Amino acid sequence: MQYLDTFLRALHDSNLANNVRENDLLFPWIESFHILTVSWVMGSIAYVDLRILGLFGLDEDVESFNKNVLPVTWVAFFLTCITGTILFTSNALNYYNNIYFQVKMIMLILIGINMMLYQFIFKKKNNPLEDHPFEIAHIKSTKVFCLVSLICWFIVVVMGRLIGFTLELTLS
Amino acid sequence: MFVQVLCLIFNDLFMNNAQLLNFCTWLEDTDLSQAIQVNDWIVPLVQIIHIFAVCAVGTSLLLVGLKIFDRFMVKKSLSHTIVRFQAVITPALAILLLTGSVLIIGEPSRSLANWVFQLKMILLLIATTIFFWIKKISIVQNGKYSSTPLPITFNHKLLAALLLINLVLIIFAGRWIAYT
Repeated sequence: MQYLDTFLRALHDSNLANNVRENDLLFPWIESFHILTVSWVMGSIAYVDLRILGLFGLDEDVESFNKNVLPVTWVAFFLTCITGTILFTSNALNYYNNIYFQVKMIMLILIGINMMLYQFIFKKKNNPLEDHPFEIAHIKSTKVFCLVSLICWFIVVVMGRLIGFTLELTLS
Repeated sequence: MFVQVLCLIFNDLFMNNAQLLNFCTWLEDTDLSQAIQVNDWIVPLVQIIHIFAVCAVGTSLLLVGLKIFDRFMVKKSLSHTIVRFQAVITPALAILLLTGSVLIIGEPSRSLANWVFQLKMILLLIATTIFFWIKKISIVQNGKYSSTPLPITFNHKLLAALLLINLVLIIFAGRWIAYT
């Protein structure tokens, strides 16, 4: 715990964090970019999950729909991580101690586990796409994976907004 | 410096309007506005709904833009893609209008009298016009329900580029309202 505290303090005192905190324009710009990319992550993930659940784009087979949308998700997610890390660095200690931030991070971990379980264990065993390229939501487990993903992303966005209302800003 | 000059120009153009400020003061004193101001949970809740609608519209417009640049659903026609995403965009825009109105009523001076908000509204009008313009020319080109893709013209790509730039600016402006 002490190492974590030291690490967070080092982050807080880093040049990057100081620059973001001291520059009036830098934080809003990065935050705006973060919101833009988060909206693309959330939206594209929702489309992928809704397609698998059979609630959107039914005339396109699941695999090709996902192949079209997922690159958008990954690029947006990569950019979200970069901007999110910079925002976190600017106020590391306060973010770390914020309950909404903690819940957001737990949700992101859950999303990662859910995705890995689906891709590397469930999909390999069942591969529902081969037999039913247009309709795979009849497999209950697939539905569960998608619902977990949707709910977790929903919470991530809600927590993200609530952080803004509860974070105590530390000026350097 | 450039940003400051831009701010001053917009202030002169829009913000220093006595009638608008009077309207904000009147709106702020209404029962509805007072109710929104007094209940701490209303603004965060409405903002969260607003953000989800932004996610829906933002992603849909991005995917339509990518379709025009041949990076998404290359085997489908443009009109087919637009009709599909419009089913999400239209209700999401209605939600944005509704939640946005609640936020404006709750804090009229922060929004209506803010030049970034005014710029956002202008950009929103431009983006909506461009979207429906793209839809119109794509439907004229290959019918509403034809799924056979036709070559995308330079005009389509130009409009798509403008639409995507607008989208980014609208989301940025949405955030910057809080800082100006």
